[in-house]
Amino acid sequence: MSSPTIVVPKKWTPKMLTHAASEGGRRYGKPHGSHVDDLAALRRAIVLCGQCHFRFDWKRHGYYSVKKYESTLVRGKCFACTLFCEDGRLFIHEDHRPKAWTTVDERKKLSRRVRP
Amino acid sequence: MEQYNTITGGQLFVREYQIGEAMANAGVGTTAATNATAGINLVTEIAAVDYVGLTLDTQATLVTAQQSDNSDPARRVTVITNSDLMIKARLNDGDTEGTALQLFDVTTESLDGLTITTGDAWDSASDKDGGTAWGFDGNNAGVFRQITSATSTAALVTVAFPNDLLVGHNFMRCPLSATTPQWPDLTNLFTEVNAEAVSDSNNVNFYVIDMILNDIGSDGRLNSYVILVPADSIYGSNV
Repeated sequence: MSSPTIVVPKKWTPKMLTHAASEGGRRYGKPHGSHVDDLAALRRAIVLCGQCHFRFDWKRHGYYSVKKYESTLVRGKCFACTLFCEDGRLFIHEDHRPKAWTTVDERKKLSRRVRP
Repeated sequence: MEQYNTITGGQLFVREYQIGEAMANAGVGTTAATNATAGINLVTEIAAVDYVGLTLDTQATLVTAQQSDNSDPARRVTVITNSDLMIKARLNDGDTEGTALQLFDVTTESLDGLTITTGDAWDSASDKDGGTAWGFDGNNAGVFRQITSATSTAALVTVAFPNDLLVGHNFMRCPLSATTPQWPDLTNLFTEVNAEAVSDSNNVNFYVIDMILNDIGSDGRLNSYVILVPADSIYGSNV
């Protein structure tokens, strides 16, 4: 006979919500994947090197892949393995992408009729 | 403001920085930390001295106190730090984001194409001299000219518009141009450029290196942009 599952609703206060929405620094010993997952949950922009990016499902997390759509690599420290890379894949969450990044298609659509 | 390209075509350099103040919006410029702050700061409406980079995400809260679960209270944002980064910023009417640019309708025709007479003040504190006027509709739609002098009712250009300026045709304006050094004035949230004001010459923020000025066909009131380059990046000399 299985035990019943008791669900106790948690009363979220604004302070708890704000704290939960903020990213904490990386804890020593925290697995790479866990850290990237936490960043994705907070919709942070993520840079992953050529070895680490395979394990990140950017579509499922709602990200825009700069490498996929623009064939552009970036330089910087990998957010997973923390090694500096020259073949970094930049992922920008779609919530922030329109405010912070102009895609190649958007650049092409901008009118060229008036260019000082 | 959005990443648009780089002048040299080099790879983007992206890294995280600890924040010194809350950053609620992505696509804003940041400046170096000072002795009194915990991390990088936001630019101001008029200055971007010691520019660090353009943010790609947000941190709504600055946390300083030690946490009960011993988690790290430091908060970080991801920033593009290239000193030659080209930044696209929308031209906005005023300080509040999302405001469509004003239209200035011609009230007195100009058969030599040199005077845009609209009855509005073109010589106000926002100083349109050295700025740009472009046709929104009419027979000069899509044509721009640099304003060479301004009066309380008109703007004068040195190079004539190709067609007569007829009554009822609309123009738009901004105090910036790609050929005259003027420091742009940003909006309240630092995400767009105020097209009705400029920062005074004592402040350093961005150079304007290109402009995308649309007419009625592309709804230029909401879709006109300047392309900026940081003038005082901490990572090297610029243009």
